[in-house]
Formats: sequence, structure tokens, C-alpha cells
Amino acid sequence: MWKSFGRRPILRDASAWAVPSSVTVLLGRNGSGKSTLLRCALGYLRTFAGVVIFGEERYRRPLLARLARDGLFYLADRRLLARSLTLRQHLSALRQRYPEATVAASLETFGTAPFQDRRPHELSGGEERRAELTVAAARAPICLIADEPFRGLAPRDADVVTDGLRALAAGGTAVLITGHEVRQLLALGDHIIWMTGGTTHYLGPPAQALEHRLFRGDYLTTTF
Amino acid sequence: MFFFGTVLAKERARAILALSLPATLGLIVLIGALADLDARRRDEYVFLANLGIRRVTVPALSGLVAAVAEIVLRLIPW
Repeated sequence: MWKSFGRRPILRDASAWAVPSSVTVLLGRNGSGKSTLLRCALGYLRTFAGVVIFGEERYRRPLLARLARDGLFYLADRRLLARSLTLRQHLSALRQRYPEATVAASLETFGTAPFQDRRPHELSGGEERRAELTVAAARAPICLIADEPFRGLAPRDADVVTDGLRALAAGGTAVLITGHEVRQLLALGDHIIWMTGGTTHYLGPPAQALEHRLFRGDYLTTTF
Repeated sequence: MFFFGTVLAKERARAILALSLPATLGLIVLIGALADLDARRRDEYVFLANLGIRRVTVPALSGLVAAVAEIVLRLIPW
């Protein structure tokens, strides 16, 4: 992907991918272009050049609705659920659209069954994120893209989210996530992609990434 | 002749201002209201997109309204 805002280049030959049955983590400093890359890949932003490959299909102008029909689920860094609907109603809409949705298992994984009849604004931040992931997991997506799924979560909620994402990957889903909760993300990820200056670098598995001198120096703290 | 031409041009300019200014202001208010409504419903759009449903977003709609309104304003023989 190549993308500029005016004359300012944001993405320069940036690539990211998700591998079936594994979690890929996209790391980078604030403003490095992580969210922009995801938004370009999902068609929310137009690129100067770039292509999205999903399964056998190649998209020069991707569109989330189209990709979602093919099995992608996108969890944005902002809220996903409609304020006027309860979690039960969201899951019902999902099941109507995708009859194969695994609703019961997903409610169990994320512990969200007790607040199925609440609307998003009646939930705490952690509960809401778990509710969003319940909807995402119930879709049993081929690929899940989650932008900062751990942001603002208490450790207990973060653990539930970690286990849920692991379970999804174990079920065959290709998971791609971003965030800044480095310890949590390195523990969860199978592959690390580092984004810096609008360009991506594949660093391999977390242990290998931790040995990368530039990654340590530019992104991680000296005490890490 | 020149004098009448100038008067007519002034009258026309006044008429354009009198008619197009409220219309433009009205459009700005309408687009602002629609954009505000859209900001509130944006989460819903992501959810719908995840269901594979493509909706015409309100900015796109308001852009269309503005474009149509502009064409109409230009077509009126002031």
C-alpha cells in the first residue's frame, strides 16, 4: 500500500498479512501508519497504489462489506455495536445473515451471556469490548482484523480477550491485531510485523523480534 | 443603453444573492445536521458492513444533495 495525506507520505510500500490458525501482531509507534494501513485495506481510505488479496480474490478497490461476505470481520478501534441494539439483537442479526454463526460458543468464550439484554452504553468498557468480540467470534471469520483490541482494558478483561483470540486462531481464523500493550501482544502473537516510517518489516516470531536491534531501540523501551 | 445594462446586472446580482444565499446557508445547515447524525451512527455502519451490508453513508448522501442543489441553482435562469 502507498498512501499520502496531501504531500505527506503515510504508507510507503507497507504490507501486512494474516496467517490461518495464528495471530499476527502489527506493532509501531503512534502515527507510524498502522490504523491507516488497516483502513486502506478495508476500503475506508483510498490508496495511491495497493492491492488486497483475500483468498483467491484480488481487490484494487476493497470494500469491507464485500470482504465481510467472504469471511472477514473488522473490529475497529472505535465502537462496533449499535447503541440502540442489545447484544442479543446484534447476535440475532448476525445469525440471520450468517446462519452458521456460533453464538452459544462465543457467549461462553467471552463470558458475555449475563449481559445479552443490555445495550452498549449500559456496559463497562471491558464488557463492551468482550461483547464486540463475542459478535466477531460468533461470525467464525476466516480472518479477524482487530485494531487495538486491548486498549483501556483491565487485566482481567484483557485475559478474557487474549484467551478468546487464541481460541479463534486455534479454530483456524487468521487474526491480525494492533496495539501498544507490548508484553501482552508479544505473548499472544505468532508473527510480528513492525511498522516504522510508513513501511513494514516482518520480524518473525516474538522471540526473534525481541532480538531485532532497531526494533528494540526505536520501539521498545530500554528496560524492556 | 449602457446605463440600463448596468442596472439590470445589479438587479440580477441582487436577485442571485437574495435567492442563493439562503439556499446555500440552508444546505450548509442540512449537511451539518446530516454529518452530525452520521457521526452518531458510524458504529452502526461498521456493524452493518461486517454483516456484508453496504449502506450509502450520510456524507455521501449529503454530498449528493449538495451536488444536485448546486446544479439546480445553476440551472435556474436568474
